[in-house]
Amino acid sequence: MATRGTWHRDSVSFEGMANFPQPLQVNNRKVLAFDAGTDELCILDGVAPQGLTGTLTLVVQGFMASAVANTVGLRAAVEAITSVDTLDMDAAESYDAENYATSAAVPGTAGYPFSVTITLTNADGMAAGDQYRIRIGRDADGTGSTDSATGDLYVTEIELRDGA
Amino acid sequence: MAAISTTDRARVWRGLMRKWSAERAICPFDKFSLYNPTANTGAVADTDAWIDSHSGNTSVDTVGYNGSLSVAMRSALTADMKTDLFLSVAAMRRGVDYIRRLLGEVD
Repeated sequence: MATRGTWHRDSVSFEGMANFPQPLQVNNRKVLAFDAGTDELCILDGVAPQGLTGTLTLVVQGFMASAVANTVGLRAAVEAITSVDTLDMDAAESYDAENYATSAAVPGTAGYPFSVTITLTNADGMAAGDQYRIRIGRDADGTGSTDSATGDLYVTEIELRDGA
Repeated sequence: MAAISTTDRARVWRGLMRKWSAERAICPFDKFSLYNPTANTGAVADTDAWIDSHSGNTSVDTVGYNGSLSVAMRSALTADMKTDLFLSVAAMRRGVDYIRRLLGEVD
């Protein structure tokens, strides 16, 4: 696998998000705090690098504020746009279907790091050179995963990998 | 005074989880044991129901507040958390302005 992008608190955006994670500093670490009670979303964007190939995955690293048991679930949707597409970009979005992570058990000690992987089965046909946005967040309402851990998920880093 | 709505119970639920996250309070229970907005069950609902049923009680009360909580939550919640829970639910019963003084914005 090859790393095709990384994001942290200061490189994501929140445009158009009705509910978004709170940017926080925890023990001098920059984190995004995702609520347990509401699906909060943010945007990762970029240009798909040359050589992009295979199945895409997102690896989300973080830690829990308070939870010492149960699981968290995440969701992500991809919009990939090629320069010859007929999408009216000032009037429409074109996110592919939502992808859900297999729920990850949280560590038995709050603050211990762990990661959650989301396989982007629905990647909107992303190919090298496409401009893309990935709308990612916590599946707090359990639409496609089991999210039962109490309290905030603090996300420190997000990595996009491909199959190379 | 009636029990509070499921919407307001969920606001208490979110607000408490934010408070305890900010305090790094250890939460060895799942979030639905605190409140399940779909089933309208959990400790927030139990607390509201206990306050509601006892607020007009004129006879000797044999069920203490702790006894209103599920067995699992009686042991999982600390005394401080139970106080937070009770205060927050009671404040929401009097209005959102009251609970904002305890938990900040609740949505």
